[in-house]
Amino acid sequence: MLKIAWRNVLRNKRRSLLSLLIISIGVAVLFLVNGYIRATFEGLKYMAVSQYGNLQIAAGNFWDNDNQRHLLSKTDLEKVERLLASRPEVQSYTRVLGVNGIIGTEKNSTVIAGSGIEPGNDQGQNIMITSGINLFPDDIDKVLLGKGVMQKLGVEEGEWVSLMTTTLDGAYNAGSLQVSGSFTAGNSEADNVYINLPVSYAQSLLNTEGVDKVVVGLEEIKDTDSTAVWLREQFSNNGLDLEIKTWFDLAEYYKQVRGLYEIIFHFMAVVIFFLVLTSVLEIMSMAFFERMNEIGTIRSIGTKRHQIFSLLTMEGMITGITGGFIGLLAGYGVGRFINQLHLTYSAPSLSEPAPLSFDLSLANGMFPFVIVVSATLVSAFYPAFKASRLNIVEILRHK
Amino acid sequence: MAIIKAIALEKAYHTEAEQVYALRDVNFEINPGDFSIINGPSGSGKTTLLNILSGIDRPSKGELYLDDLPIGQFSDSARTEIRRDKIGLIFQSFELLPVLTAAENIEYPLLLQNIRPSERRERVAAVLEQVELTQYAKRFPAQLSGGQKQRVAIARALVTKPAVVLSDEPTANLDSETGIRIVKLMLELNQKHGVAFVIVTHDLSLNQYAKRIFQIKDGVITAKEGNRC
Amino acid sequence: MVITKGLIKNWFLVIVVLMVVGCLSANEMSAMNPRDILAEIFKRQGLTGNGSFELNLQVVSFKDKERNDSSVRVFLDGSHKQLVTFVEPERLKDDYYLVNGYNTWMYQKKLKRPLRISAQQKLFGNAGIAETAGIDYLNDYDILKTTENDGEYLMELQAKDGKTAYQRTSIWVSKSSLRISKITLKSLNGQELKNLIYSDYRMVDGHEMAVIEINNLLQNKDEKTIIKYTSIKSRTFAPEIFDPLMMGKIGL
Repeated sequence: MLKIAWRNVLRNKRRSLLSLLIISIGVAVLFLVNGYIRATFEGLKYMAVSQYGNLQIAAGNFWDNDNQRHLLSKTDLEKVERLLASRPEVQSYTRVLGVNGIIGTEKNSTVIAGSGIEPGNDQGQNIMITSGINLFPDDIDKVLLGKGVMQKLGVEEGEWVSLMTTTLDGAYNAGSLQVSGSFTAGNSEADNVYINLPVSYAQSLLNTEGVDKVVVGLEEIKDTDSTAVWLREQFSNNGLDLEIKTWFDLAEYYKQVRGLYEIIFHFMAVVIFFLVLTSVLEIMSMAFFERMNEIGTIRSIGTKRHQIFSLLTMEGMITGITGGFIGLLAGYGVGRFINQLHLTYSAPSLSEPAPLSFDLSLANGMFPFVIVVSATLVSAFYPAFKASRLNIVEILRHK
Repeated sequence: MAIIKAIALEKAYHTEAEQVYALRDVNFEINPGDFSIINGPSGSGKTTLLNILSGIDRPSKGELYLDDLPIGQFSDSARTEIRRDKIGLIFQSFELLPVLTAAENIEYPLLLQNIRPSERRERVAAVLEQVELTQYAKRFPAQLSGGQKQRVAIARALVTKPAVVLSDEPTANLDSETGIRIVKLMLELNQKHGVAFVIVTHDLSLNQYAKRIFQIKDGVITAKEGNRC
Repeated sequence: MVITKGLIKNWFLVIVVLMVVGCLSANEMSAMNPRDILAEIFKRQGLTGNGSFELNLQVVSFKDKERNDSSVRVFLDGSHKQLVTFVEPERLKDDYYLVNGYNTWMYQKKLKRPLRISAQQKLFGNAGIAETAGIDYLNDYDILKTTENDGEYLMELQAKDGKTAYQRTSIWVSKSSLRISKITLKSLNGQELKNLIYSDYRMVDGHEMAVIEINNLLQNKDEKTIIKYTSIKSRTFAPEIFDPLMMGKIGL
């Protein structure tokens, strides 16, 4: 029966080629779109990990948004760092203390959201230096400005700026910092308000020995959840009232983009499903009903209705699978070609161009393949069913 | 014992205006080894009779037995199985599958019977030899002449070793010489293998080959001649 | 009899004349231009357009049972410049705030450069820099509307320039005494930000000054801050002290 089905598919070459074209284009398009969004997710994931670290450890109510400042005390900090040092999956960790205030000169000033960081430790610093140099471990009173902040203030590397903030008690405090350079966080809104300064300077401005959090980097992203579980256990055993958030918990942008892209992709899949279904349905219906006589004959000589249905459905399946494979190959070819061109484009909220690339792994081709082949199969069902229900006498009468 | 026995068969079609009888009170028997011809003009009901005898259609009234099985009451699926196993069909327009070779067309009914491949090959080879088409086994229908196609059709009808072969106007699309050769082949196979043949035709020149002749007119068997050797 | 009638007629006339004069006087008062009312108030204060002054203020903040005291000195130049410094407490002595027109800077002695900030920035307790240094309601605002109610004028003011710290204000002035009783400082869209309650007017070195109570209407609502002027001296200043780059570098 497979042989008969296969030969029937090859019988009307033009019609079969048209079906194959529709199917393969559907698969290729979905494969490329899926490949693009998976590559984007992967990029965003690494961006999120670069930005947030794999994990962040903070005091119990730090993320409660209760208008209170909950810092990690010096004692708790030391305990946390001892635990982290004992874990082989941990690549590095750094202290972070947030500073909000006004920075500027007598000519211009602007509101900033700063991070006191450990210079030389890149953890949780998803930034790219755009001018000057990054902070060094020995730097005490240097500052790295977001490139938008630097533009607003109209200052250059080496100039001094004043930073005014309020201490934890609400008193004003201010200090002078020398501009080391500027950076981009990949996001124009962030570039307009972010600054980085040494955590020790931030602590002196805020008059505290505590920090907001410890940002932890791991050797492998996949170890994030298991390390978080282990740390929570350790904190509980040691009576530490601390909270842990993974990069995934913190990466709102990643989750939003992922959610949006998934919706768009699935919507596209539905649209392509119906496009393929309706197009191939039309072609298959014509093919089957032109062979009505033949169907009448083989029914006459002893072929049962379900065998007719199976035969015709098999033809749909063959067309679908063949077209699906061609589509995968075409999608792979086009995707590979575009990848080689190393194209870039401007993505929303990113201040630097993003690479246009496709993840062409087979796993990303499976869903498009299944969707489109299913559409082809479903499009064969109706005409196959109608053909199998035909009355033999009526068919023979129309010869 | 008759292979086919029809008792008071009736086939009626209902139109808006009236009831039309395609067959009326048909009593009919085919015995093993029969070579029967049914004559009748167009619209006489001979094709309807053949459809009912083969189980393609069901009678409105009456009884129909094939090998003592009351197939007139069977479901479509059961009748299809009977056709597959016990009846061979030969059509006016040959009705070969264009995508299969001559051998594959002949093999097709054996596929439906789930016969194993080695036995299928043997049986196909045997009937190809009987219809003298061994050297055309790998040709597609488009590459065969009318006579060759009809011989393939005959081979296809015989390969399942049916109890009876029913044929509707087998020579209608052939020239007279080829037509006669085909009928002679059928007669030869009938004599050699004892398979009953029932041929529906309006060509009276074929009657000379028949052992029994039936006349049908307006859905009624009007005359029977028979038992010639 | 004739004399009595004559006397009664005279008294009646006198009463009528007195009534007319009284009405006329009242009309004359209510016919006062609102701008003239403000001008009168600030004329009695005697600071605007009258030269340069050194003002000493006590600024006290009360929150729950806690009290915080400070002594503030404001150097006021006739042409819209004010320098604000702290005399007490010790920890704020190195803080300087300069207001020049619509620009405000802060400076601490440890800084290498002053920092441009907003005049709304908090100075001490609920007192912001602008209201401590002094807001020129007469020259920096237009009067949009004036109504009379319960013996008070209520004036609605709008800042002439978009850079002014408080874009809109409402001023209540006593009709009888022509003294401010209350000022509400507002944002551009009318959001009420602070109430300044004026009371206990007294003469301070020849200037009519009130004690001002400041309440923040958006946050720290349980805190109140009192400004009391202790002395006002005429002084001449070198123009450099109002230069942002010279903040903290010139002896005052």
